Amino acid sequence: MGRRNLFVWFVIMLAMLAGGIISGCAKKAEPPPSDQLRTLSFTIDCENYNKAVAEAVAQQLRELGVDVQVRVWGDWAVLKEALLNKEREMLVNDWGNSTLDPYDLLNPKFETGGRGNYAHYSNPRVDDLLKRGATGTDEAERERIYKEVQEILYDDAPWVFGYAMQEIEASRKTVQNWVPATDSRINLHRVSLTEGDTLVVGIRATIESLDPANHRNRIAETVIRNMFDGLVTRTPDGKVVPEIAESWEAISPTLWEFKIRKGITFHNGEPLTADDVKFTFDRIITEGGLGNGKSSPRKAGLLDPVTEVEKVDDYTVRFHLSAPWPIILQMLVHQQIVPKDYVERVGSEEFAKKPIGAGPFKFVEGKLDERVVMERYDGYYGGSPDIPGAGPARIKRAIFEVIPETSTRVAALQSGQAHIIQSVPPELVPELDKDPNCEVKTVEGTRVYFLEMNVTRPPFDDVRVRQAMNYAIDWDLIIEKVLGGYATRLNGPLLPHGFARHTGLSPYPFDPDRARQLLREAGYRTE
Amino acid sequence: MLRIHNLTTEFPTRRGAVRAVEEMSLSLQRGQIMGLVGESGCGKSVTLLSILRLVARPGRIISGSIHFEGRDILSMAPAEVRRIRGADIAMVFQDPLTTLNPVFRVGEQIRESLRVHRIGTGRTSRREERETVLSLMKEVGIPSPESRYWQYPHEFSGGMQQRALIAIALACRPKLLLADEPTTALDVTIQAQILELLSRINSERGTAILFVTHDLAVASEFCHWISVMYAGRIVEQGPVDEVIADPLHPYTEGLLRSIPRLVKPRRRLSPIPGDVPDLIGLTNRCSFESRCDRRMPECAERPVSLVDVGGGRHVRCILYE
Amino acid sequence: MRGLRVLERILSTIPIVFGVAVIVFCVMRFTPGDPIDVMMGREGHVSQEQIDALRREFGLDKPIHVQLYMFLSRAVRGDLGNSLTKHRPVSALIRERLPATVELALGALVFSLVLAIPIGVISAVRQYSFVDRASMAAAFFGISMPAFWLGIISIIVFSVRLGILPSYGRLPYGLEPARVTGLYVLDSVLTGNVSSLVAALRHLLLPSVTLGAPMAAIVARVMRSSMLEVLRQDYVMLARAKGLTEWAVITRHALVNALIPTVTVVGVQTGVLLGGNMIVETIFSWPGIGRLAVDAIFNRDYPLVQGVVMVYALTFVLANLAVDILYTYINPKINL
Repeated sequence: MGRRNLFVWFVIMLAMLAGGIISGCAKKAEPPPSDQLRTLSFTIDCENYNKAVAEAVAQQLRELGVDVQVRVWGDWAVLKEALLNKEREMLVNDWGNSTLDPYDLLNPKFETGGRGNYAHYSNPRVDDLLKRGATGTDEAERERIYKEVQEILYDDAPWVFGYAMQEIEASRKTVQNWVPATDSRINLHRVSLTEGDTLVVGIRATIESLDPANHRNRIAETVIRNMFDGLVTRTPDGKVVPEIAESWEAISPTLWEFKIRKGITFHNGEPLTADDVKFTFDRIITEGGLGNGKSSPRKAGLLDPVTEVEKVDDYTVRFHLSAPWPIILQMLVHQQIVPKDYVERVGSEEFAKKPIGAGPFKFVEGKLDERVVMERYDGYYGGSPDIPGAGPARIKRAIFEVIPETSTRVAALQSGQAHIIQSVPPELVPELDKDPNCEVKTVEGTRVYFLEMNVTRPPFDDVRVRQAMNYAIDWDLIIEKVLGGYATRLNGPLLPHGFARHTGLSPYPFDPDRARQLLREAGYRTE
Repeated sequence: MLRIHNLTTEFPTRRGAVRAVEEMSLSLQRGQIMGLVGESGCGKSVTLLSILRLVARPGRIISGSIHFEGRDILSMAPAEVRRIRGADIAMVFQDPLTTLNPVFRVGEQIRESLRVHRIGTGRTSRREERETVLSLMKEVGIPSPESRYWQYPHEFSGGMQQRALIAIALACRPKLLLADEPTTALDVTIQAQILELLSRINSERGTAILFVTHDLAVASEFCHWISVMYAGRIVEQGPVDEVIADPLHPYTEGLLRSIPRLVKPRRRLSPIPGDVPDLIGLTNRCSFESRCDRRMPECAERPVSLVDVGGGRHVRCILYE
Repeated sequence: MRGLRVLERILSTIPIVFGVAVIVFCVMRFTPGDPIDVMMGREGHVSQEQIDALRREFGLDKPIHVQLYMFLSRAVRGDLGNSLTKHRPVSALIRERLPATVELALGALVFSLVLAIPIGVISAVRQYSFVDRASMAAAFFGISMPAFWLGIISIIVFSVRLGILPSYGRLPYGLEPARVTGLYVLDSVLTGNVSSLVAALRHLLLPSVTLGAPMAAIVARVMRSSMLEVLRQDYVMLARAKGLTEWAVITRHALVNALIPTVTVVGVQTGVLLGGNMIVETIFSWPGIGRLAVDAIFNRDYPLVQGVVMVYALTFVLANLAVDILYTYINPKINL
């Protein structure tokens, strides 16, 4: 018994030894002798707002013996030209993905020749997958496709995958039933107050316009969204749910049909029908649609594929698309329905001064860089039934106050002048945490931050160097020290809460030894 | 009417106290013109300012008394002193350009003097005040006073400015006029006019004048009495003609020798050698000793005091003790 | 006569304003960044054709000298063009926000003069006293303190900790007085609206103090030194010799003369006030020209920046003109 056991152990050990020698021989062949190792040297580019992160990254790389310079660019246009000419090496960059769909992030950033592809990454398999992801209408299929893309990108590592910023907002404790939304809009429809019936929101910048078709500005949308509803809306965690449209169907990848909820009225009492929906979109997609020769700024990048909106009957419309467009629902969240008769009667200019919508609050008065005041619309149809708490708004009056300076905004909250404030900087969070009347709330944001590496030229044409970079950077430390802790580590290119995110991948660990080994294999000296 | 007794005024400096006026005594009768003569810096102006208690900080009067019509100005309450200033005792300053306030109209500056002291004594209308100002301006010889009333000081010539200043001083019909080198800044011809004006005021109104000048010639023509000051102290005092004709103090003599007009023909001008001594740490010994041509060994050894030599004349010199 | 000279002076400012317009125009064009880029954001699916269309719409496709000519020829007629981001005429935007800025600037001016002149006078009259030393130390503090810091600290102290003053805006909702001039304090007085007046003054206090502090500090120091100078003058002695009380000597004879250099400094400081108003209006969410300028600069809104800077330049020129005219009243030696 004992003897046999010993023999088995002996054989196993022998086998392991042999295996070790063989694999060892195979690996040892690769790294060049140490006297042929070069110093890895490159420049990190960034714009001013990413400078702190770029410096932190450079510092960590220098500890590995990499010779890194940081170059801060003042002018994006100039930097962009250099990037397009494939002249640069590593770029600290970020990309907004408020639709939470990979179509809006992976396609432009990784498709061969994609408009944001500053890594100049090109992979036929990825191109093929991305094309199928862009045209497919089957969610499960798209999810599978994009997961495969993430696996390929994880190994190919054209980026050093960084982090996603969190949005920090805060409210008084008297505010009930409010959570910050991932797209940073503040919807007051279901919010209530334990004291008083007027709720004041401190917003961070001037409102561009109150006409839903005449701005390119999330703040404007936040305010407008409380007076206007869209065909669909988004839950605070980013899911698309019906609103004015009660249901929809993709008849084909380029033809979508929406059924409009009956019984909805605008604040002037007129019913909302397919005519209003068609008018709303015609106003945006038609050249000069705003009147006086002005075109809506909400077409480019937001509604490009929509060629026609067709009225089928009073409560049915069809969207004709020039090409398959999987993010149509996410994009429709950002368009709000306006009353055809009223807008036609008063014109766009007057409409922007006295907007009328079909949302939970009606406009009272407003100065765009000061405040907008609105009151509850008692004839409201109740909003999306898919979000709990449908019905008229709970609060009687809502006021959006423009308070651009963050410290002032926080002070307004603490002094009780405001009930909800946008964009709290991490350094002021401890102050609010101490205040018994306030609470800080965070939500995942919609912007990813990463280092893009130019894969067409040394040193980053070598996948080992790119992987080494991913191992070499201690993101947890950067998030803690530079970003105040309010960021989430990425395990790939996608947002932590985005559609089709691959949960099976874990972020590249911080492993300087592994990074050194990879660099040495690629022929670089390390410390 | 004015009796100054043992007045000492001191200015503290970093190096020690400067006695600008020391144990000065002087008296002036109604209607008299007293000349206070001396080199610049000898304490003439400080004496005048001391009389009105206008010595600017940090200077202060440390001892003595100044009796005006029987009352000691130095022991009066500030409000009482103010009641005397400009009303009973008025002052004419040296440089009319800097003494008139540049931002107010001349007529209004004269009117202000009237108004200051009429507040308690019934109301006078603005128009009445203006009339008074105009007649004052006429009296001091300012031509076309109606238009001059509304002009600013810089629009006046030097002589006219001085006339305006005199008008300001005369506004309340003072009993005593303190004139601090009122002609020094002026041309010779204008000087004569101003002196004539002052004489006329003295004779017509009976206003006593304490006339400070460094110019013994002017004093000799204009004053009844004369006090010669040197380094803060009076060295000689007496009726003007006698002092000029027969100076007792070597310093007075020296002064007279250095004045062209009073020197006999063919005699050379002879300036007094040396400079005025440092006023810090002066003792009560003779301070002219170092420049004196009749110096004696005793001069540096014992104090000298003002000696009455009869005929109203006083002198501070060891020769007469 | 004086009227004619004033008119002459006003006309002579035209070349200055014109020069400022040209410089501002050029500086804006040579500043990195493109308004269309800023408008569309970086990730937008914007095609080159769409960008070109927008450039055409705003006239940005034309050569710079043509743009300059268009700008100037319109500006002469009072048309400053349309804001790229706010889609409204620049002149209307400025007109809307001017009263807020004027009210704040007047508040700061009144605060700084009411505080600084007496302090300067007392410091001079009581030279080297405790009051003098304390107020000059405070003045030094006031000059060296950044408006940004002072503003935030005053908000934290007075509105967060003590809770006695509001931290932002001109008035709470519902208290706007009927519009007469657009200056809320004045309007609420004119319409006899007491609750608006109280609220408007409470809102005005912290921003005015923040904006006026550096000016108050400088004015106090200038006032002190010129007062010291004046108090040594003969005419002050004459005033005393006339039998005037010390109060009358200082407030009547000395003060007016000491104000002459102060007025010059106030004129120059108006420029500093304008510079500070961007910061202060941003901190206190004051809906005036300063915040409009900040928004416009960040968005590369050329016409709006040009318009706002023109207003600043004009104000500066007018402030100096006003000082010159005021000068002739307090200093009779100076003619225009």
